[in-house]
Amino acid sequence: MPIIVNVDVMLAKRKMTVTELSQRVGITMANLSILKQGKGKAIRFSTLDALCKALDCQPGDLLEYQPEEGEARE
Amino acid sequence: MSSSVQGPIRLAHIITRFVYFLLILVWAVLFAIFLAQILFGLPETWSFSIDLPLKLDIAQPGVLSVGSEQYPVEISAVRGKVAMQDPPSFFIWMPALITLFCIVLAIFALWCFKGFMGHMVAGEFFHQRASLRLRQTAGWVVLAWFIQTTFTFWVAVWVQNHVSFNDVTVHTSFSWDLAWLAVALFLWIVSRILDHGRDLEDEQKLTI
Repeated sequence: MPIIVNVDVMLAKRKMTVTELSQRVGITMANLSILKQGKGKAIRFSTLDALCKALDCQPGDLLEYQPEEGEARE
Repeated sequence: MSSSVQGPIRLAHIITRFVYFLLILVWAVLFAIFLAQILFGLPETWSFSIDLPLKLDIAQPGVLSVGSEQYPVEISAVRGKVAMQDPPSFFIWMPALITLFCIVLAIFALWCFKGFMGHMVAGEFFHQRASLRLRQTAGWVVLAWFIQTTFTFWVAVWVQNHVSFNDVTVHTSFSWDLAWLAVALFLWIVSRILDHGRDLEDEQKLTI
């Protein structure tokens, strides 16, 4: 999927651990892992809201659109 | 899943299993009779008659009398079976083999359906194997229908060419029995719906 979730980058910037984020946001480590690995199919606004609050950032800081190779050539 | 839904599903599962084992028993008994006939022959006291599943149009000419006038009429469109007393051995072997084979196909179909019902009882409505089992059931049903239909068609043609009756003109006609094909189509559609349900379930699971 061309949408990348930059949770890792934001965690590094905020010097926060995954466990801490998990506790603050209230989602499981397994779900955070799905987000980080890009395996998620959708993200709820409520989750995005909680992540932005916990990481003190904008949705755009967490989500990035990276076109796939075929799309980029077009 | 609520118990009000679980109850009928459990009942359907039990019935499916019962019919499955009953069919195996029927097949075993028929096969034993078939085998005994090959090895020892039929007892002389047994009288076999073969019913050919055919739609017959028997056209018998007659006369309608109204007052002094007489009008030619014809009785037709009679549906029936051709019963054969002491038929040639070929006519015993062939339907017996086809019947045994169709029962085997029905057993396969029921085995697949039993697997599907097992998933339903376990609450795994959208399990990949549940929809697969349903599609397999549909496949076996279609195969059994095809073999049965082909056999009936062949018998119709054969009877048309070989059977004759005194003073009665017999027109055998072949009719498509599409009920089982409709059942198979319905099962296939349900399996596609379950596939779609599985996609939605996956999406739901991966929505964070």
